[in-house]
Amino acid sequence: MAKVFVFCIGGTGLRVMKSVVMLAASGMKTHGYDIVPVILDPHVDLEENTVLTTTIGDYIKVYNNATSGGSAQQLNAPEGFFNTRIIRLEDLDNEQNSTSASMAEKKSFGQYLNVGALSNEDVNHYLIQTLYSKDNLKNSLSVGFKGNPNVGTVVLNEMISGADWYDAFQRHCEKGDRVFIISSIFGGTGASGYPLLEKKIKEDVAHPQVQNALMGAVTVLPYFSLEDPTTSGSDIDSSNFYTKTKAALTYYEKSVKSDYLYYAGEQSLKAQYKNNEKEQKDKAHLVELVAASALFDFLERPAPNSPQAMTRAIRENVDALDLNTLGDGYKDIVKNVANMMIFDLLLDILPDELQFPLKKTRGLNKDFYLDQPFGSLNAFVKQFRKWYAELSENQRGFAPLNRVSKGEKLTPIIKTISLKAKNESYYLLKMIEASNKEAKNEHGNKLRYLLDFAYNGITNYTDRI
Amino acid sequence: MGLLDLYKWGLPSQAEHLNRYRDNEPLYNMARSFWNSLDSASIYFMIAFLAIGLAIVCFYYYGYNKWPGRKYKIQHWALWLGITAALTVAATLILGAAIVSSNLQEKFGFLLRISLINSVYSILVYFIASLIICNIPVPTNAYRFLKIGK
Repeated sequence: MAKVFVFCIGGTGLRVMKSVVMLAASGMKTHGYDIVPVILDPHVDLEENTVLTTTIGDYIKVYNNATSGGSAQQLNAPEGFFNTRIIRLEDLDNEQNSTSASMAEKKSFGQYLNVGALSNEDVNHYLIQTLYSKDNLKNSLSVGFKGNPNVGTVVLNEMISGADWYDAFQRHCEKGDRVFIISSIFGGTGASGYPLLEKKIKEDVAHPQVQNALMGAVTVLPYFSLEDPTTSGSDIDSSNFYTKTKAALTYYEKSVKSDYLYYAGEQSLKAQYKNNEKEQKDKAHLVELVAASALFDFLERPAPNSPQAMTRAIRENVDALDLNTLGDGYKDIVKNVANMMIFDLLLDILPDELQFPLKKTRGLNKDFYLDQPFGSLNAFVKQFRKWYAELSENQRGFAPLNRVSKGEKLTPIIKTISLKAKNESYYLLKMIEASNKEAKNEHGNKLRYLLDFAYNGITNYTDRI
Repeated sequence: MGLLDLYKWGLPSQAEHLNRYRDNEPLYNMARSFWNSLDSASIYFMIAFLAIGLAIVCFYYYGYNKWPGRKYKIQHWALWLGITAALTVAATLILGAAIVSSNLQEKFGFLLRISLINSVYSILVYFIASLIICNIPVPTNAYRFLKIGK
């Protein structure tokens, strides 16, 4: 199976990758590519880093449960939910170390440059004073580059050279594999990391399969602002985001050579976050979702004759976007997100559905609902629900679905259209019919039955979107 | 043994029935002819409970359960069991009134008893057919609660 190595650089890279994982779980197609996420963020203590690593681990657990046929038999990937295989780079090597661990630097930038060893009269000392502020030099590298690409460029360049994760990437990248880089352009880590990594790959003559891999990238333009740094005491000032973006774009224009370069951004900085670079507990955002969708778009495109710059728009400029205001290009995303949210409702109902026919025919009984595979699936789907809630509440909101609770009418679950399924029983019935159509106990993986039949049942109604 | 024997357990015996009219010859003859008429109609009564029981059980498993609304639940199965019984009573009464010709006062009482017995048989047919359907590999959307074993 071909792979796509997805390099997620910096905080935005992490958040976009989370959206990629969620979309993959909802059934977005990668056209036969396995996703290999490579997290590149020196800010290893960042909660988002841990959250993403856990989310990827949870996804892999569900995928493995869904494809295990028992007694070493391996099933094909599911048709719908969790249809894409995600493999950690360290799993390709059967190792336990994450890529970020090797990037962690507990030193300050000044210590990293060994500035203390330079005498005050040394010309290099003056050069450093010219290029970097005192705050730059004092900053601990373990919290990232705090929106300073001039710091990131120096540190990341060395971090990429000879890094274990890059060696692993070189070893496992095969002919036909692709590369996708996710970064932001208005911060420090992503803005500096993307051109460096791209250059490193494009100049890797010793590994033609790496050098010639079709490359896509998404660079995220400013989409949020931060609280005034004079009140928060932070080193990051979001009023500089546009200036930094313009400077970086000028550089990108001449230097980056990705086959497809996607730009995702906002017209204005609508969302305002707390200015706390240590935590960065920011809600999921539409722009991250759009950036994540770029990966899926890239995977269905052939190699272009020349580098292509891509972007995507929304139909109407409103604060809460639904299917109409998003535009037709978002139908697939809305449909998949709706499928997963309906699945979430069904997962709430099914354990209490004591006379559900699949209990007898497919073994979806009490023991199954108490077992680890269902628990892992349910926990993941709850994360998905939380992720969607964040997306819908943020500014601007991705909110094509109405909030529907257990037992309520389901016809209006997708705003602006009316589904034929009036309540859960319509989906349950289609699940039973899907089960009846399939050969009896062809594998015995109960979780797989649940995933397949639920997807089949749900899409029976949502396919009209 | 006539088919009417199927209903013997809920009806008076023929002798008992005729004995009541032994002092009145015209009524005796009428009672005898009523009994014979019942005996010959009993095949239709039997067909009625069999047909209604089987038709409704098939409808429940292969028709009704194609509709949404959690029709697979046992309460729906029980509802159709009740409908089977009620329909059998009504059908037997109508059938009896149409086929059995007699001016005997007891006619309605007899037909009612036969109808009730018929409803018991139709319930049995419904149950046995359900038991079979739940255990054969023919797809149904209903809950196979009568399935034996796992």
